Amino acid sequence: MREYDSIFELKISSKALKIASRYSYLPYMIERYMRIFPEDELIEFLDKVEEGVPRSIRCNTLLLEDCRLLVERLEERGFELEQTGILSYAYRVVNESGSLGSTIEHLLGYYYIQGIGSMLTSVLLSPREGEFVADLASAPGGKTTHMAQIMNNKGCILSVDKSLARVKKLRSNIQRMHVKNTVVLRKDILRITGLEEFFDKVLLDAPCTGEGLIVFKKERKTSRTMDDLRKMSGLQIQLLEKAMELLKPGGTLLYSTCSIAPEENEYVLSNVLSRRDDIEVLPTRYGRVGSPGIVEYNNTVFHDDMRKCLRVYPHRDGMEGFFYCLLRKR
Amino acid sequence: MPTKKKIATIIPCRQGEEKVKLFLEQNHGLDNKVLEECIFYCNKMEKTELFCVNKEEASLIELLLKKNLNPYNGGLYLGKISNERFEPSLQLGKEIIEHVRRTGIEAKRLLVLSDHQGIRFTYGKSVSLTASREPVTRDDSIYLVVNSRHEFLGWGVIRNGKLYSLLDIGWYLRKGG
Repeated sequence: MREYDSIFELKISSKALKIASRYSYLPYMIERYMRIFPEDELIEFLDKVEEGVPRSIRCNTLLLEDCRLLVERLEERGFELEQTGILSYAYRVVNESGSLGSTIEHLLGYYYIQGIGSMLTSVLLSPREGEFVADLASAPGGKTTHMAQIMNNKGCILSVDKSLARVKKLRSNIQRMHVKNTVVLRKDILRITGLEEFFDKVLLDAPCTGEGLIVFKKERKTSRTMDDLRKMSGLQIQLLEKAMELLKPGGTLLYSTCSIAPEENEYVLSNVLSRRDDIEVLPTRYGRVGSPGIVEYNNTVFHDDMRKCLRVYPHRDGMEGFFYCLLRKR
Repeated sequence: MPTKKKIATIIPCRQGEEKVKLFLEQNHGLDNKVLEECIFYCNKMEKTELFCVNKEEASLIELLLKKNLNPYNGGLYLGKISNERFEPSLQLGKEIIEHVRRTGIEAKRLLVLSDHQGIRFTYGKSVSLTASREPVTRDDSIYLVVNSRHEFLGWGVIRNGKLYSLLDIGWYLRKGG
């Protein structure tokens, strides 16, 4: 038994059953949301999931000095774009007139189709030119190519993924976006040895059940069980421990998931923090975007520093759900 | 017994450096300033792939190799050598066009297509050059192909008044994933 395991014990109420039936979810999901959101906000969240959020693109400033040119060109093709107001080079595609992935501008590497929640990971980690950065579980490359953009193609990113098919996609995206500062390694990160304390920064955008992507993938309402969450959190704890090993003392790690499940986020971090005294949780904030991490959930009190972490939700922030937490190795 | 699919490992290589420099000079009349501060690496599979890496990447690759970790890709992908012949990559083409734009130096064998021709080319289709000013050649020279905005579209060869794609940016959609 791990600490905080009580979060997996859930009794499903008749109210949760009723709402689950109305919105076509598995009941355990609604029961959990009832413990995350107040009642009126729960409905707001569920309605926003039904409505969805527009897809978004990240303009590639490695290839374009002025992103307005890209906007003009896409608008000439009938797409309607809207500045996000969150990142200067990020745009919501509010009207798609064709396939966003097959325009000439996409093939030229002028943009990457990426959720705003996903873009925030690279911005929060904030890698600098000349640093050594590791992107673990990196394919298909949205975050690697974004970090290369932030680093102005200087320094070095080690981009790791264990699947050959995914690594091929990663390589294709690296080339299309004209990224030049990345070394790709196909490896299960749990099997990496010899790189301890090498990296200035580490991004662990951990494999997850994708509960935050439910706005894009409605099938997620019924595709994962509580047991999947339990198994995934076990893997995430192992990955986070491993990722910490690769980080230099004084270095920064961003733990993120495209999931709003406390089981995959605050639970994972609280478990790792309870066993180690060499990690400091840093305030993870980006202007007025997002809400603090959860400290109490389902009769469980997590590590107090979880309030320093950051969550984004579709109904509050207009983007897919995500979780982020910056950690420093002492 | 099923065989495990092997993945290429990249290692330092001088052979690659010579091939690329020769290609730039002979084919496009460009010196090696296109690839300044490049450290050349290759992998050895059926075809040798070439990469240009920066000094930080080189130090990381050396560390990975020392720890028996095999990097798969690094830095700028330059192309591959097949039967002693160099086949340039899309990334190298983009790098050359960027160099030309930045320095104002002219590259030989640069072919400008109209928008309509450019679209055909990125679908991997042949483009008739009869209306073009480009002379019809009979050799196997490789052309840098750009659109009217001078954006790199791919590599092509000209035969009997037609441009054929060797590798165009439509590859990212058709095969790149």
